[in-house]
Amino acid sequence: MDSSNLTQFLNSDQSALSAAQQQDMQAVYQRLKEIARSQRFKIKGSGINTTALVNEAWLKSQRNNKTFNDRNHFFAYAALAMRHILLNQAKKNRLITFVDPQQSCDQPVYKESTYLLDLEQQLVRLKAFDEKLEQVFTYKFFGDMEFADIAAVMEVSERTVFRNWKKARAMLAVAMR
Amino acid sequence: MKDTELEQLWRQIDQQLDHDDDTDLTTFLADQGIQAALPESVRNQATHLLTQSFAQTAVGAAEFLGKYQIIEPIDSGGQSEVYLAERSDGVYQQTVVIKFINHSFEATEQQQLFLREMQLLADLHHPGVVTIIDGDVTEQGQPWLVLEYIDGPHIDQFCVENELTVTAVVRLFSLLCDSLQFIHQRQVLHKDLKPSNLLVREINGVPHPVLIDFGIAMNVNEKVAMNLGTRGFSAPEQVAGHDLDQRSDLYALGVLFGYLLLAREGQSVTVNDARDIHNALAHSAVPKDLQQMVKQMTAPEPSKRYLSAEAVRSDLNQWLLGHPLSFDHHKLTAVLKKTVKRHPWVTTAMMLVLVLAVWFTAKYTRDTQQLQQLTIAEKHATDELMNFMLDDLFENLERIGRIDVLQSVALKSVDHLAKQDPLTLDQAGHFQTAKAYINTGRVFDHLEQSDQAQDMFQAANEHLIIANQSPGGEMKYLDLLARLRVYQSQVLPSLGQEQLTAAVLEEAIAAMQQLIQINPQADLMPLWEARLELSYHLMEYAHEQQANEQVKMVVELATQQLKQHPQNTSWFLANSQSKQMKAWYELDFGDLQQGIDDIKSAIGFAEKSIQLDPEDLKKQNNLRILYNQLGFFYLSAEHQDAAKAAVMEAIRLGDDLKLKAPFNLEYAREHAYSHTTAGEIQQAEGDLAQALEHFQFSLLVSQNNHQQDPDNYSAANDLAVDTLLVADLKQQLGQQQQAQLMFESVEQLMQPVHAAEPNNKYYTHTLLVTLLHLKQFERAKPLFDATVKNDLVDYAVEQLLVKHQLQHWLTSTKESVGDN
Repeated sequence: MDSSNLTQFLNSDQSALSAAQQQDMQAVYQRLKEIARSQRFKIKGSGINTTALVNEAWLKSQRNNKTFNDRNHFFAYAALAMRHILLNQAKKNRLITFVDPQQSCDQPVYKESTYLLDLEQQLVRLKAFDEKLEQVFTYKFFGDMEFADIAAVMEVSERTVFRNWKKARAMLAVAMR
Repeated sequence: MKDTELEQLWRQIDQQLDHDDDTDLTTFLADQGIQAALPESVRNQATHLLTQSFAQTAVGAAEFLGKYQIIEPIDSGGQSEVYLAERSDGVYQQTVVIKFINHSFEATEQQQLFLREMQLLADLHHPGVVTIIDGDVTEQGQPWLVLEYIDGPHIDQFCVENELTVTAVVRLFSLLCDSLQFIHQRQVLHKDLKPSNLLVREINGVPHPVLIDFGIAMNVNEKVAMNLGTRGFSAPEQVAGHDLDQRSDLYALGVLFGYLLLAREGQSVTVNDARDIHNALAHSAVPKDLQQMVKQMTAPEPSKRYLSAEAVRSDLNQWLLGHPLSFDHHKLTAVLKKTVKRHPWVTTAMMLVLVLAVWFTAKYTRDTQQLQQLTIAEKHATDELMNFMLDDLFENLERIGRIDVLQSVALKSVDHLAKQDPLTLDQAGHFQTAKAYINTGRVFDHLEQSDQAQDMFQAANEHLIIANQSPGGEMKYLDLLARLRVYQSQVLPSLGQEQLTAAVLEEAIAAMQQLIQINPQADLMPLWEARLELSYHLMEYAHEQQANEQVKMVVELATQQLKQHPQNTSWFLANSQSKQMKAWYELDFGDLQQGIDDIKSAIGFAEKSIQLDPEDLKKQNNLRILYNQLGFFYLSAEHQDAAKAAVMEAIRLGDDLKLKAPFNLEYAREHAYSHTTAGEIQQAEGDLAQALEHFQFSLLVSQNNHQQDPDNYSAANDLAVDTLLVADLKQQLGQQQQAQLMFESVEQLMQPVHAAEPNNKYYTHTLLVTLLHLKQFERAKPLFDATVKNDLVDYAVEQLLVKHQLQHWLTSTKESVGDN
């Protein structure tokens, strides 16, 4: 994937991925899953460290096939993938609570799913309001990217990124009350 | 929060941070009187979800929804999410579709409305309408549905891929009109007819369009403008948000019709408006009448459209028959009527003109009226067809040995029955339907399509159960139940057949005993049939003692009933068949001479039954079978001459039957059997030329049978066996070359059959004999070993081994078997 393709992809609407893009996502997901299941990432109560996960994925992709020549772009892509993957998982979880109300909604994973679905809805709104805010938020929230790296991907100053991150958080927080 | 309110807040935040990007968010929000948790990172806020997504090895756990297990997402985005799923709660297996509508209801009132509408849909049972299996609204107000899974392509895909002709599209559409009429009659509108909402599934080889994705839930919340349907397909009144009725669906139907007619010509029209279709049609090869129909369906004014789907269907059928369509005469008569109404004072001259006009159109109008009546008749034709089948077609065709012609009737009947709405049937209707299913099952059984027969009998059973829930039909219920069980016993699957057969027949007997209690005058034929079947069954599984008791009861029942009904041919036949059955019993467990006497007695009864009813071929076939059997019995008793006489009589009767029913395969097979026996007798007597003639006759029959059904292994095996007999004789007559060619042809015939079913002992045996003839001993050896295991090493095989000096095969195998 070259840089322009990637940028185009990063800018495209998450909810309307093409079949090819869906497939890309699926591949990324598989890769991330494999890494997560490897010895190093066996979770011990602390949960998954997304930064480490994506870092590892980056190193592997460098070793194997250099589809990405820019680390920051890879991270941005991974952030989008993460958002997509978690959203799908959350949707599946929601199905469970629908069809089987016995599956108590108190379990944290279902609560988190509801939270994420809610967040997604607001992100769509936020995008309509200001696309840049939504992008910054996705990179930071889902991908755990450094502000400097986000700045490099978006070709703006680090300060702007930080400001936009604050804006997005605040806006989403009020929207999700 | 309202959109505008939120946006205002967002703008405020935006300005504040632009103004001072060091603003502390928590304080700032608190100052605004807002308490909200700030999103931090997915790592902290969705820890469990992350773990679940990435670290759980058991994928299934997350995808198991109680009763249903998600297989894969089919469709997502837009107004709903659709998943393919499987019911997996151990009750039964079923592939279903789960659909979540992305729209939540806030008020209970709306939820109630949604549920009521779902109930309405759940009550629609029609093969052309997708069935709703389950569904509810979640506590959060999210509606979800579980739907039947239709394994078929979208209708446009179906038309293009199968290269449907215009006629085929019209037929498909006529079925669609049926479904639409069905839902409209129940006050349901679809509201979103388009190619992606119509799947095609095949029922008994006939493609049926199935309506999916009703516009439910879409019209319940008027605030959300969701009932707009689909651009290009929706009627103008729907787009405008006005009241809808069935004519709005007809508009979409018209667009769809035009779209499909164009699609099959390879034109893919982007439909933004019905006019796009009209324009494309004008430049296409689509017949003008059909174009006119599309126009009438898609008239912008609902009042100018067809009135109902039924009316569309009627015109489609008129078109198929090549008759004029409804709009061809409506105009003229309507104009005339209106003129007279509006101007009661019309002048004489005008009157004259009118009278002339009327006279010229009169004949035409009369023709069309006749046609309309034809259409009504055609509508009832399927009912009548079914009733005809019920009443006497089956019996009559059985009498002339032509049940084969019933295949298409049976298929049509199934088609028709499948469309019935069980809710509209009364008790008599259920009995009627059960009987129709029973007869259809008998036809399938006769055509050796046991699976289908089983399905039919099962359906009959269900209708009987429903019919019996209303009072007053008990006698009819018991009678039909007993008959059904007897027929069912003949098509049971081979797995667990022994127990099942006995159980089913016992049920039949029990039902009859109950019936006799209520009505001592009841027809006891079903009881006799059940006992007869049960006797054969017990004999087959060598329950000698029980079989003996049953046999006695069968003979006794037949004798006693014949006394009471001395002119009844059926009871003569029953007596004949009882004695015949007793003869088999004597052969297996009793005295052979007694068996021969029984057959002679059976022949006596059979001849009397024919005297009383000389037209019934079934009875004549029965007599012929008896002579065949007599021949077999005499051979077993080593009365060669008597056997020969019996078989010759069978051949004479067979020749007779062949003239009367040349197409009956069953008769032909039995006739061939007579000839084979005759050939064997003559071969034993040393009259090889005569024997060859008989074998060749059998061969002709099996060649014919094989040709008619080339994939039928059993027919192929029959052909192989007969060919082997002829080839063997030719060899004995010194025609080595011809014999060799025949053996080779048999090998070519049987090799693939054996490869496909290596465990069938008869096919193995046949191939073994062939290979021995061809001197391919290495290939023959494993087949021989298998045949030894199957206990099928007969005289023919032994002779061949001796001939090729392979006797050591016999002894070596015996030893190895002994070692084991």
